[in-house]
Amino acid sequence: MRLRVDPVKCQGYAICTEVAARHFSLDDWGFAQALVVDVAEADVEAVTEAITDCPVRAIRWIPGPGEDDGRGTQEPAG
Amino acid sequence: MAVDPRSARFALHEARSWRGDDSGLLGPTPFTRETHDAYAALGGYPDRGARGAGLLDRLAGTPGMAALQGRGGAAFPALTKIRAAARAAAAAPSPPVVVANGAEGEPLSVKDRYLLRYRPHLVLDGLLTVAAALGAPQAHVYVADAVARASVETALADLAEPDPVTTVHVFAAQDTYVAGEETAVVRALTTGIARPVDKPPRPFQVGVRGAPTLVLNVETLACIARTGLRGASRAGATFLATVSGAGRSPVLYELPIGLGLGDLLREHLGRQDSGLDVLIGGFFGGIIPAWPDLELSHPGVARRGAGLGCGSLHLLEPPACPVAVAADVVAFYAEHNAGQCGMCMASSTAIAATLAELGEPRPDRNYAELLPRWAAQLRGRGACAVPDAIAVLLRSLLRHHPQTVTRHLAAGCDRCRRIKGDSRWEHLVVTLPVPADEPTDPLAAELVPSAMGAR
Ligand code: SF4
Ligand code: SF4
Repeated sequence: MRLRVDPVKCQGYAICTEVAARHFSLDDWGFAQALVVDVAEADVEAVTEAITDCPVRAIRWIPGPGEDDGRGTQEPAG
Repeated sequence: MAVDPRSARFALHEARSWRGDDSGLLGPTPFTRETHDAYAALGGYPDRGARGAGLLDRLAGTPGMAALQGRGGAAFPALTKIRAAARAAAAAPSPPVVVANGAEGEPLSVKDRYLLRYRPHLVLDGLLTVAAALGAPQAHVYVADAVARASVETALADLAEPDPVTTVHVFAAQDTYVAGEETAVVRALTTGIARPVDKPPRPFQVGVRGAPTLVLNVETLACIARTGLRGASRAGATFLATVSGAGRSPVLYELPIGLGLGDLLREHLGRQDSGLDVLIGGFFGGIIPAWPDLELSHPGVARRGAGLGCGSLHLLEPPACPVAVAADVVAFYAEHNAGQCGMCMASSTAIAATLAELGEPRPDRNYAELLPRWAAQLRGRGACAVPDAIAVLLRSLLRHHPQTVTRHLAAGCDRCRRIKGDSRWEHLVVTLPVPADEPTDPLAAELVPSAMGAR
Protein backbone atom coordinates (compact mmCIF):
# COMPACT_ATOMS: atom_id res chain seq x y z
CA MET A 1 0.00 0.00 0.00
CA ARG A 2 1.06 3.55 -0.60
CA LEU A 3 -0.38 6.98 -0.01
CA ARG A 4 -2.02 9.05 -2.67
CA VAL A 5 -3.00 12.70 -2.53
CA ASP A 6 -5.96 13.38 -4.82
CA PRO A 7 -4.78 16.39 -6.84
CA VAL A 8 -8.33 17.49 -7.59
CA LYS A 9 -9.14 17.79 -3.90
CA CYS A 10 -5.91 19.01 -2.35
CA GLN A 11 -6.06 22.71 -1.55
CA GLY A 12 -2.63 22.93 -0.02
CA TYR A 13 -3.79 23.44 3.54
CA ALA A 14 -0.53 21.79 4.64
CA ILE A 15 -2.02 20.01 7.62
CA CYS A 16 -0.70 16.66 6.40
CA THR A 17 2.85 18.00 6.19
CA GLU A 18 2.66 19.08 9.81
CA VAL A 19 1.07 15.95 11.21
CA ALA A 20 3.19 13.51 9.18
CA ALA A 21 6.16 15.47 7.95
CA ARG A 22 8.11 12.44 6.81
CA HIS A 23 5.25 11.24 4.62
CA PHE A 24 4.11 14.42 2.92
CA SER A 25 5.75 17.54 1.64
CA LEU A 26 4.54 20.55 -0.28
CA ASP A 27 5.72 20.96 -3.83
CA ASP A 28 7.06 24.24 -5.18
CA TRP A 29 3.51 25.40 -5.83
CA GLY A 30 2.20 24.64 -2.35
CA PHE A 31 0.35 21.38 -2.97
CA ALA A 32 0.92 18.15 -1.09
CA GLN A 33 2.82 15.17 -2.45
CA ALA A 34 3.05 11.80 -0.72
CA LEU A 35 6.67 10.96 -0.05
CA VAL A 36 7.04 7.49 1.35
CA VAL A 37 5.99 4.22 -0.23
CA ASP A 38 6.24 1.91 2.75
CA VAL A 39 4.73 3.22 5.94
CA ALA A 40 6.36 1.73 9.03
CA GLU A 41 4.14 0.35 11.80
CA ALA A 42 5.26 3.13 14.11
CA ASP A 43 4.11 5.80 11.64
CA VAL A 44 0.66 4.45 10.90
CA GLU A 45 -0.90 6.54 13.63
CA ALA A 46 0.55 9.81 12.32
CA VAL A 47 -0.43 8.96 8.75
CA THR A 48 -3.95 8.03 9.80
CA GLU A 49 -4.18 11.33 11.62
CA ALA A 50 -3.12 13.16 8.47
CA ILE A 51 -5.79 11.29 6.50
CA THR A 52 -8.53 12.21 8.95
CA ASP A 53 -7.30 15.75 9.55
CA CYS A 54 -7.11 16.79 5.90
CA PRO A 55 -10.03 19.22 5.66
CA VAL A 56 -10.91 18.12 2.13
CA ARG A 57 -10.27 14.39 2.63
CA ALA A 58 -7.69 14.36 -0.15
CA ILE A 59 -5.48 11.55 1.19
CA ARG A 60 -6.10 7.83 0.83
CA TRP A 61 -4.39 4.46 0.64
CA ILE A 62 -4.00 2.87 -2.80
CA PRO A 63 -2.25 -0.32 -4.01
CA GLY A 64 1.49 0.16 -4.33
CA PRO A 65 3.45 -0.26 -7.57
CA GLY A 66 3.88 -3.94 -8.26
CA GLU A 67 0.82 -4.80 -6.21
CA ASP A 68 -2.03 -6.26 -8.22
CA ASP A 69 -4.33 -3.43 -9.24
CA GLY A 70 -6.74 -5.84 -10.91
CA ARG A 71 -5.24 -5.73 -14.37
CA GLY A 72 -3.01 -8.65 -13.62
CA THR A 73 0.01 -6.51 -14.24
CA GLN A 74 1.80 -3.76 -12.47
CA GLU A 75 1.43 -0.17 -13.45
CA PRO A 76 3.98 0.95 -15.99
CA ALA A 77 6.59 3.13 -14.32
CA GLY A 78 5.62 6.40 -16.13
CA MET B 1 2.55 34.81 -32.70
CA ALA B 2 -0.21 35.50 -35.09
CA VAL B 3 -0.85 32.19 -36.75
CA ASP B 4 -4.36 31.25 -37.74
CA PRO B 5 -4.66 27.54 -36.99
CA ARG B 6 -7.42 27.34 -39.56
CA SER B 7 -5.04 28.44 -42.27
CA ALA B 8 -4.34 25.99 -45.08
CA ARG B 9 -0.75 25.77 -43.87
CA PHE B 10 -1.74 23.21 -41.26
CA ALA B 11 -4.18 21.22 -43.37
CA LEU B 12 -3.38 17.60 -44.01
CA HIS B 13 -4.26 16.50 -47.55
CA GLU B 14 -2.06 13.45 -47.95
CA ALA B 15 -2.39 9.97 -46.48
CA ARG B 16 -0.31 7.05 -47.63
CA SER B 17 1.18 3.80 -46.57
CA TRP B 18 4.89 3.21 -46.37
CA ARG B 19 6.18 2.67 -49.91
CA GLY B 20 2.88 1.18 -51.02
CA ASP B 21 3.19 -1.51 -48.36
CA ASP B 22 0.46 -2.44 -45.97
CA SER B 23 -2.43 0.01 -46.06
CA GLY B 24 -4.65 -2.06 -43.83
CA LEU B 25 -5.49 0.89 -41.58
CA LEU B 26 -5.65 3.74 -44.10
CA GLY B 27 -7.70 1.65 -46.50
CA PRO B 28 -7.39 1.04 -50.23
CA THR B 29 -8.45 4.56 -51.28
CA PRO B 30 -7.29 7.34 -48.96
CA PHE B 31 -9.68 10.22 -48.24
CA THR B 32 -12.64 8.25 -49.54
CA ARG B 33 -15.29 7.20 -47.09
CA GLU B 34 -15.47 3.43 -47.17
CA THR B 35 -18.98 2.05 -47.61
CA HIS B 36 -20.37 -0.96 -45.82
CA ASP B 37 -20.24 -3.02 -49.04
CA ALA B 38 -16.65 -2.04 -49.80
CA TYR B 39 -15.63 -2.99 -46.28
CA ALA B 40 -17.53 -6.27 -46.41
CA ALA B 41 -15.79 -7.04 -49.71
CA LEU B 42 -12.46 -6.94 -47.87
CA GLY B 43 -13.78 -9.62 -45.54
CA GLY B 44 -15.15 -7.17 -42.98
CA TYR B 45 -17.72 -8.14 -40.34
CA PRO B 46 -16.75 -11.81 -40.58
CA ASP B 47 -18.84 -14.41 -38.83
CA ARG B 48 -17.24 -14.36 -35.39
CA GLY B 49 -18.22 -17.96 -34.76
CA ALA B 50 -18.08 -17.51 -31.02
CA ARG B 51 -18.81 -14.89 -28.38
CA GLY B 52 -17.86 -14.38 -24.77
CA ALA B 53 -14.89 -16.30 -23.41
CA GLY B 54 -14.54 -18.38 -26.58
CA LEU B 55 -14.15 -15.28 -28.72
CA LEU B 56 -11.82 -13.69 -26.17
CA ASP B 57 -9.57 -16.76 -26.32
CA ARG B 58 -9.58 -16.67 -30.08
CA LEU B 59 -8.71 -12.97 -30.07
CA ALA B 60 -5.91 -13.66 -27.60
CA GLY B 61 -4.53 -16.31 -29.93
CA THR B 62 -4.47 -13.97 -32.95
CA PRO B 63 -0.89 -13.39 -34.11
CA GLY B 64 0.47 -10.12 -32.79
CA MET B 65 -2.45 -9.55 -30.42
CA ALA B 66 -0.43 -10.18 -27.25
CA ALA B 67 2.03 -7.48 -28.29
CA LEU B 68 -0.53 -4.91 -29.43
CA GLN B 69 -0.15 -1.71 -27.42
CA GLY B 70 -2.96 0.81 -27.14
CA ARG B 71 -2.75 3.59 -29.73
CA GLY B 72 -4.28 6.38 -27.70
CA GLY B 73 -0.98 7.45 -26.16
CA ALA B 74 -0.43 5.44 -23.00
CA ALA B 75 0.63 2.33 -24.98
CA PHE B 76 -0.89 -0.03 -22.45
CA PRO B 77 -1.09 -3.64 -23.74
CA ALA B 78 -4.56 -3.94 -25.30
CA LEU B 79 -5.07 -7.61 -24.48
CA THR B 80 -4.20 -7.09 -20.81
CA LYS B 81 -6.75 -4.31 -20.68
CA ILE B 82 -9.46 -6.40 -22.39
CA ARG B 83 -8.78 -9.32 -20.05
CA ALA B 84 -8.89 -7.10 -16.97
CA ALA B 85 -12.28 -5.75 -18.07
CA ALA B 86 -13.53 -9.31 -18.66
CA ARG B 87 -12.37 -10.36 -15.18
CA ALA B 88 -13.93 -7.32 -13.55
CA ALA B 89 -17.16 -7.91 -15.49
CA ALA B 90 -17.39 -11.49 -14.24
CA ALA B 91 -17.51 -10.21 -10.67
CA ALA B 92 -19.58 -7.06 -11.20
CA PRO B 93 -23.36 -6.76 -10.81
CA SER B 94 -23.81 -4.71 -13.99
CA PRO B 95 -22.75 -5.85 -17.48
CA PRO B 96 -19.59 -4.32 -19.00
CA VAL B 97 -19.51 -1.33 -21.34
CA VAL B 98 -17.08 -0.87 -24.25
CA VAL B 99 -16.06 2.54 -25.59
CA ALA B 100 -14.33 3.40 -28.86
CA ASN B 101 -12.35 6.48 -27.92
CA GLY B 102 -11.97 8.86 -30.86
CA ALA B 103 -11.87 12.17 -29.01
CA GLU B 104 -8.28 12.90 -30.16
CA GLY B 105 -7.50 16.13 -28.37
CA GLU B 106 -3.85 16.15 -29.47
CA PRO B 107 -3.40 19.18 -31.72
CA LEU B 108 -0.67 17.43 -33.73
CA SER B 109 -2.58 14.22 -34.48
CA VAL B 110 -5.41 13.59 -36.94
CA LYS B 111 -5.30 9.81 -37.28
CA ASP B 112 -8.29 8.98 -35.10
CA ARG B 113 -10.63 11.37 -36.87
CA TYR B 114 -9.24 10.13 -40.17
CA LEU B 115 -10.19 6.55 -39.27
CA LEU B 116 -13.65 7.57 -38.08
CA ARG B 117 -14.30 9.75 -41.11
CA TYR B 118 -13.00 7.40 -43.81
CA ARG B 119 -12.98 3.91 -42.26
CA PRO B 120 -15.89 3.92 -39.82
CA HIS B 121 -16.68 0.26 -40.47
CA LEU B 122 -13.17 -0.86 -39.56
CA VAL B 123 -13.58 0.83 -36.18
CA LEU B 124 -17.15 -0.43 -35.66
CA ASP B 125 -16.13 -3.98 -36.58
CA GLY B 126 -13.37 -3.85 -33.95
CA LEU B 127 -15.74 -2.36 -31.39
CA LEU B 128 -18.43 -5.00 -32.01
CA THR B 129 -15.84 -7.80 -31.88
CA VAL B 130 -14.46 -6.69 -28.53
CA ALA B 131 -17.97 -6.04 -27.19
CA ALA B 132 -19.01 -9.56 -28.25
CA ALA B 133 -15.95 -11.03 -26.53
CA LEU B 134 -16.96 -9.26 -23.31
CA GLY B 135 -20.67 -9.86 -23.76
CA ALA B 136 -21.24 -6.10 -23.50
CA PRO B 137 -24.82 -5.10 -24.33
CA GLN B 138 -23.90 -1.40 -24.67
CA ALA B 139 -21.05 0.22 -26.56
CA HIS B 140 -20.25 3.86 -27.31
CA VAL B 141 -18.33 5.64 -30.02
CA TYR B 142 -16.96 8.74 -28.30
CA VAL B 143 -16.05 11.32 -30.91
CA ALA B 144 -15.60 15.09 -31.03
CA ASP B 145 -15.10 15.79 -34.74
CA ALA B 146 -18.47 16.54 -36.36
CA VAL B 147 -17.64 15.00 -39.75
CA ALA B 148 -16.35 11.85 -38.07
CA ARG B 149 -19.48 11.64 -35.98
CA ALA B 150 -21.74 11.90 -39.02
CA SER B 151 -19.68 9.23 -40.77
CA VAL B 152 -20.05 6.81 -37.85
CA GLU B 153 -23.78 7.46 -37.65
CA THR B 154 -24.15 6.71 -41.36
CA ALA B 155 -22.07 3.55 -40.96
CA LEU B 156 -24.28 2.36 -38.11
CA ALA B 157 -27.38 2.95 -40.20
CA ASP B 158 -25.77 0.93 -43.02
CA LEU B 159 -25.30 -2.20 -40.93
CA ALA B 160 -27.47 -4.84 -42.56
CA GLU B 161 -29.03 -5.93 -39.29
CA PRO B 162 -28.49 -4.86 -35.71
CA ASP B 163 -25.74 -6.67 -33.87
CA PRO B 164 -27.18 -9.56 -31.85
CA VAL B 165 -25.15 -8.72 -28.75
CA THR B 166 -24.46 -5.01 -28.63
CA THR B 167 -26.24 -1.72 -29.18
CA VAL B 168 -23.87 1.01 -30.31
CA HIS B 169 -24.42 4.65 -29.33
CA VAL B 170 -22.60 7.64 -30.74
CA PHE B 171 -21.59 10.24 -28.16
CA ALA B 172 -20.66 13.80 -29.11
CA ALA B 173 -17.53 14.39 -27.05
CA GLN B 174 -16.37 17.85 -26.06
CA ASP B 175 -13.57 19.12 -28.24
CA THR B 176 -11.13 19.70 -25.41
CA TYR B 177 -7.66 18.39 -24.75
CA VAL B 178 -8.53 16.26 -21.73
CA ALA B 179 -11.88 14.95 -22.98
CA GLY B 180 -10.19 11.81 -24.38
CA GLU B 181 -8.50 10.83 -21.13
CA GLU B 182 -10.03 7.53 -19.99
CA THR B 183 -11.60 8.67 -16.76
CA ALA B 184 -12.85 11.84 -18.48
CA VAL B 185 -14.48 9.62 -21.12
CA VAL B 186 -16.21 7.58 -18.45
CA ARG B 187 -17.27 10.67 -16.56
CA ALA B 188 -18.59 12.35 -19.71
CA LEU B 189 -20.64 9.26 -20.62
CA THR B 190 -22.01 9.11 -17.09
CA THR B 191 -22.52 12.75 -16.12
CA GLY B 192 -21.67 14.85 -19.18
CA ILE B 193 -18.61 16.35 -17.50
CA ALA B 194 -15.51 15.49 -19.53
CA ARG B 195 -12.87 15.91 -16.83
CA PRO B 196 -10.49 13.31 -15.45
CA VAL B 197 -10.93 11.70 -12.05
CA ASP B 198 -8.08 10.63 -9.78
CA LYS B 199 -7.12 6.95 -10.10
CA PRO B 200 -7.58 4.26 -8.85
CA PRO B 201 -10.17 3.00 -9.48
CA ARG B 202 -9.62 2.74 -13.21
CA PRO B 203 -12.50 2.54 -15.71
CA PHE B 204 -12.24 -1.24 -16.05
CA GLN B 205 -13.00 -1.44 -12.34
CA VAL B 206 -15.56 1.33 -12.01
CA GLY B 207 -16.63 2.91 -15.27
CA VAL B 208 -19.74 4.20 -17.01
CA ARG B 209 -22.50 4.37 -14.38
CA GLY B 210 -20.37 2.13 -12.19
CA ALA B 211 -20.09 -0.70 -14.73
CA PRO B 212 -16.70 -2.18 -15.66
CA THR B 213 -15.77 -0.21 -18.76
CA LEU B 214 -13.23 -0.96 -21.45
CA VAL B 215 -12.04 2.20 -23.19
CA LEU B 216 -10.00 1.51 -26.31
CA ASN B 217 -8.62 4.01 -28.80
CA VAL B 218 -10.21 3.80 -32.26
CA GLU B 219 -6.89 2.87 -33.92
CA THR B 220 -6.49 0.02 -31.44
CA LEU B 221 -9.94 -1.24 -32.42
CA ALA B 222 -9.08 -0.83 -36.11
CA CYS B 223 -5.95 -2.97 -35.54
CA ILE B 224 -8.13 -5.66 -33.97
CA ALA B 225 -10.73 -5.62 -36.79
CA ARG B 226 -7.94 -5.66 -39.34
CA THR B 227 -6.83 -9.11 -38.20
CA GLY B 228 -10.17 -10.51 -39.43
CA LEU B 229 -9.78 -9.12 -42.98
CA ARG B 230 -8.34 -10.96 -45.94
CA GLY B 231 -4.58 -10.78 -46.27
CA ALA B 232 -4.19 -9.49 -42.72
CA SER B 233 -0.75 -9.38 -41.17
CA ARG B 234 0.00 -9.56 -37.46
CA ALA B 235 -2.20 -7.41 -35.24
CA GLY B 236 -0.64 -3.98 -34.96
CA ALA B 237 2.10 -4.54 -37.54
CA THR B 238 1.64 -0.95 -38.66
CA PHE B 239 0.73 2.31 -36.96
CA LEU B 240 -0.64 5.65 -38.07
CA ALA B 241 1.70 8.60 -37.78
CA THR B 242 0.72 12.24 -38.31
CA VAL B 243 3.99 13.73 -39.55
CA SER B 244 4.27 17.52 -39.68
CA GLY B 245 6.71 20.40 -39.38
CA ALA B 246 10.01 21.28 -41.10
CA GLY B 247 8.19 23.44 -43.63
CA ARG B 248 6.65 20.44 -45.38
CA SER B 249 2.91 19.80 -45.70
CA PRO B 250 1.75 17.31 -43.10
CA VAL B 251 1.22 13.69 -44.14
CA LEU B 252 -0.63 10.88 -42.42
CA TYR B 253 1.51 7.77 -42.88
CA GLU B 254 0.82 4.16 -42.15
CA LEU B 255 4.24 2.90 -41.10
CA PRO B 256 5.64 -0.50 -40.21
CA ILE B 257 6.27 -0.65 -36.46
CA GLY B 258 9.97 -0.37 -35.82
CA LEU B 259 10.80 1.67 -38.94
CA GLY B 260 13.94 3.76 -38.52
CA LEU B 261 13.31 7.50 -38.32
CA GLY B 262 16.08 8.09 -40.87
CA ASP B 263 14.13 6.12 -43.49
CA LEU B 264 11.02 8.15 -42.77
CA LEU B 265 12.94 11.44 -43.02
CA ARG B 266 14.43 10.45 -46.38
CA GLU B 267 10.95 9.67 -47.65
CA HIS B 268 9.20 12.66 -46.12
CA LEU B 269 11.81 15.39 -46.59
CA GLY B 270 13.95 13.85 -49.30
CA ARG B 271 16.94 14.10 -47.01
CA GLN B 272 18.19 12.65 -43.79
CA ASP B 273 18.99 15.82 -41.94
CA SER B 274 20.85 15.26 -38.70
CA GLY B 275 20.16 18.78 -37.45
CA LEU B 276 16.46 18.22 -36.83
CA ASP B 277 14.64 17.74 -33.56
CA VAL B 278 11.27 16.10 -33.18
CA LEU B 279 8.37 16.85 -30.86
CA ILE B 280 7.07 13.32 -30.54
CA GLY B 281 3.86 11.67 -29.34
CA GLY B 282 1.60 14.70 -29.61
CA PHE B 283 2.49 17.03 -26.75
CA PHE B 284 3.27 14.03 -24.55
CA GLY B 285 6.51 12.44 -25.68
CA GLY B 286 9.17 15.12 -25.30
CA ILE B 287 11.53 16.89 -27.73
CA ILE B 288 14.40 14.73 -28.90
CA PRO B 289 16.98 14.90 -31.67
CA ALA B 290 15.69 13.25 -34.85
CA TRP B 291 18.21 10.41 -34.66
CA PRO B 292 18.16 8.44 -37.94
CA ASP B 293 18.49 5.21 -35.97
CA LEU B 294 15.51 5.97 -33.72
CA GLU B 295 13.27 2.92 -33.88
CA LEU B 296 9.67 4.03 -34.31
CA SER B 297 7.95 1.76 -31.82
CA HIS B 298 6.81 2.34 -28.26
CA PRO B 299 9.76 0.47 -26.72
CA GLY B 300 12.17 1.95 -29.27
CA VAL B 301 11.25 5.53 -28.41
CA ALA B 302 10.95 4.78 -24.68
CA ARG B 303 14.56 3.50 -24.70
CA ARG B 304 15.66 7.00 -25.70
CA GLY B 305 13.77 8.58 -22.81
CA ALA B 306 10.79 9.79 -24.86
CA GLY B 307 7.34 8.49 -25.83
CA LEU B 308 5.77 7.59 -29.18
CA GLY B 309 2.35 8.27 -27.64
CA CYS B 310 -0.33 8.79 -30.30
CA GLY B 311 2.29 8.32 -33.02
CA SER B 312 2.62 11.92 -34.18
CA LEU B 313 5.99 13.39 -35.18
CA HIS B 314 6.43 17.15 -35.48
CA LEU B 315 9.79 17.94 -37.05
CA LEU B 316 11.66 21.01 -35.83
CA GLU B 317 14.08 22.49 -38.28
CA PRO B 318 16.78 24.93 -37.26
CA PRO B 319 16.52 27.69 -36.24
CA ALA B 320 13.47 26.38 -34.31
CA CYS B 321 14.50 26.45 -30.68
CA PRO B 322 13.58 23.42 -28.52
CA VAL B 323 13.25 25.64 -25.46
CA ALA B 324 10.81 27.92 -27.27
CA VAL B 325 8.77 24.94 -28.50
CA ALA B 326 8.72 23.47 -24.98
CA ALA B 327 7.49 26.85 -23.76
CA ASP B 328 4.78 26.78 -26.45
CA VAL B 329 3.62 23.32 -25.37
CA VAL B 330 3.54 24.17 -21.68
CA ALA B 331 1.70 27.39 -22.52
CA PHE B 332 -0.88 25.19 -24.23
CA TYR B 333 -1.19 23.07 -21.10
CA ALA B 334 -1.49 26.13 -18.92
CA GLU B 335 -4.45 27.14 -21.05
CA HIS B 336 -5.95 23.70 -21.70
CA ASN B 337 -5.61 21.77 -18.46
CA ALA B 338 -8.91 20.69 -16.98
CA GLY B 339 -8.75 23.48 -14.45
CA GLN B 340 -9.40 21.19 -11.54
CA CYS B 341 -6.11 20.05 -9.97
CA GLY B 342 -4.45 22.85 -8.05
CA MET B 343 -0.96 21.50 -8.59
CA CYS B 344 -1.50 21.17 -12.35
CA MET B 345 -2.92 24.65 -12.84
CA ALA B 346 -0.24 26.27 -10.69
CA SER B 347 2.70 24.30 -12.10
CA SER B 348 1.77 24.60 -15.77
CA THR B 349 1.29 28.34 -15.47
CA ALA B 350 4.55 28.80 -13.57
CA ILE B 351 6.59 26.55 -15.85
CA ALA B 352 5.19 28.13 -19.00
CA ALA B 353 6.19 31.53 -17.66
CA THR B 354 9.65 30.27 -16.67
CA LEU B 355 10.38 28.68 -20.04
CA ALA B 356 9.24 31.84 -21.79
CA GLU B 357 11.51 33.84 -19.49
CA LEU B 358 14.53 31.83 -20.51
CA GLY B 359 14.65 34.21 -23.46
CA GLU B 360 16.06 36.70 -20.98
CA PRO B 361 19.25 35.91 -19.14
CA ARG B 362 18.22 35.27 -15.51
CA PRO B 363 21.12 34.93 -13.19
CA ASP B 364 18.87 35.57 -10.15
CA ARG B 365 17.28 32.11 -10.01
CA ASN B 366 18.99 28.79 -10.29
CA TYR B 367 17.01 27.31 -13.16
CA ALA B 368 19.62 24.62 -13.74
CA GLU B 369 18.59 23.26 -10.36
CA LEU B 370 14.88 24.12 -10.58
CA LEU B 371 14.01 22.48 -13.91
CA PRO B 372 15.01 18.93 -12.89
CA ARG B 373 13.44 19.48 -9.48
CA TRP B 374 10.13 20.42 -11.09
CA ALA B 375 10.32 17.45 -13.46
CA ALA B 376 10.69 15.17 -10.42
CA GLN B 377 7.86 16.85 -8.52
CA LEU B 378 5.31 16.50 -11.33
CA ARG B 379 5.64 12.80 -11.88
CA GLY B 380 2.44 10.82 -11.35
CA ARG B 381 0.81 13.69 -9.51
CA GLY B 382 -2.15 14.76 -11.64
CA ALA B 383 -5.56 13.20 -11.99
CA CYS B 384 -4.52 12.77 -15.61
CA ALA B 385 -1.11 12.62 -17.28
CA VAL B 386 -0.71 16.31 -18.13
CA PRO B 387 1.78 16.93 -15.30
CA ASP B 388 3.72 13.84 -16.47
CA ALA B 389 3.76 15.23 -20.00
CA ILE B 390 5.30 18.45 -18.74
CA ALA B 391 7.83 16.42 -16.73
CA VAL B 392 8.80 14.40 -19.83
CA LEU B 393 9.21 17.61 -21.78
CA LEU B 394 11.46 19.17 -19.13
CA ARG B 395 13.51 15.99 -18.83
CA SER B 396 13.92 15.76 -22.60
CA LEU B 397 15.21 19.34 -22.66
CA LEU B 398 17.67 18.67 -19.86
CA ARG B 399 18.82 15.35 -21.23
CA HIS B 400 18.98 16.02 -24.95
CA HIS B 401 19.45 19.77 -25.19
CA PRO B 402 21.69 20.60 -22.23
CA GLN B 403 23.86 23.03 -24.18
CA THR B 404 20.82 24.86 -25.51
CA VAL B 405 19.40 25.15 -22.01
CA THR B 406 22.74 26.31 -20.60
CA ARG B 407 23.09 28.86 -23.37
CA HIS B 408 19.61 30.18 -22.59
CA LEU B 409 20.41 30.43 -18.90
CA ALA B 410 23.67 32.24 -19.55
CA ALA B 411 22.79 34.53 -22.41
CA GLY B 412 19.05 34.40 -23.05
CA CYS B 413 17.75 33.78 -26.53
CA ASP B 414 16.50 36.21 -29.12
CA ARG B 415 14.06 33.72 -30.58
CA CYS B 416 12.41 32.91 -27.29
CA ARG B 417 12.29 36.56 -26.35
CA ARG B 418 10.48 37.41 -29.54
CA ILE B 419 7.82 34.75 -29.15
CA LYS B 420 5.26 36.26 -26.84
CA GLY B 421 1.56 36.01 -26.53
CA ASP B 422 -1.20 33.85 -25.21
CA SER B 423 -1.64 31.39 -28.03
CA ARG B 424 2.02 30.87 -28.77
CA TRP B 425 1.38 27.15 -29.33
CA GLU B 426 -0.91 27.73 -32.28
CA HIS B 427 1.75 26.82 -34.85
CA LEU B 428 1.80 23.28 -33.37
CA VAL B 429 -1.41 22.19 -35.02
CA VAL B 430 -2.43 19.87 -37.85
CA THR B 431 -5.96 20.01 -39.21
CA LEU B 432 -7.96 17.57 -41.29
CA PRO B 433 -9.91 19.66 -43.80
CA VAL B 434 -13.61 19.09 -44.18
CA PRO B 435 -14.33 17.25 -47.42
CA ALA B 436 -15.84 19.57 -50.04
CA ASP B 437 -18.93 17.42 -50.39
CA GLU B 438 -19.72 17.41 -46.68
CA PRO B 439 -22.46 19.87 -45.81
CA THR B 440 -20.96 20.54 -42.39
CA ASP B 441 -20.04 23.68 -40.55
CA PRO B 442 -16.35 23.97 -41.50
CA LEU B 443 -15.30 25.25 -38.10
CA ALA B 444 -17.01 22.41 -36.27
CA ALA B 445 -14.56 19.96 -37.78
CA GLU B 446 -11.43 21.85 -36.83
CA LEU B 447 -9.26 19.98 -34.46
CA VAL B 448 -8.07 22.93 -32.44
CA PRO B 449 -9.39 22.21 -28.99
CA SER B 450 -11.58 24.98 -27.74
CA ALA B 451 -10.50 26.74 -24.59
CA MET B 452 -11.03 24.57 -21.56
CA GLY B 453 -14.19 26.09 -20.27
CA ALA B 454 -13.87 23.11 -18.50
CA ARG B 455 -8.56 19.45 -20.43
S1 SF4 C 1 -3.93 18.45 4.41
FE1 SF4 C 1 -5.09 17.83 2.59
S2 SF4 C 1 -5.50 19.71 1.48
FE2 SF4 C 1 -3.89 20.08 2.96
S3 SF4 C 1 -2.00 19.86 1.82
FE3 SF4 C 1 -2.44 17.94 2.83
S4 SF4 C 1 -3.61 16.79 1.30
FE4 SF4 C 1 -3.63 18.89 0.64
S1 SF4 D 1 -3.80 17.00 -13.95
FE1 SF4 D 1 -4.26 18.95 -14.94
S2 SF4 D 1 -5.15 18.44 -16.89
FE2 SF4 D 1 -5.21 16.59 -15.60
S3 SF4 D 1 -7.17 16.63 -14.59
FE3 SF4 D 1 -5.80 17.68 -13.24
S4 SF4 D 1 -5.96 19.86 -13.83
FE4 SF4 D 1 -6.78 18.62 -15.42
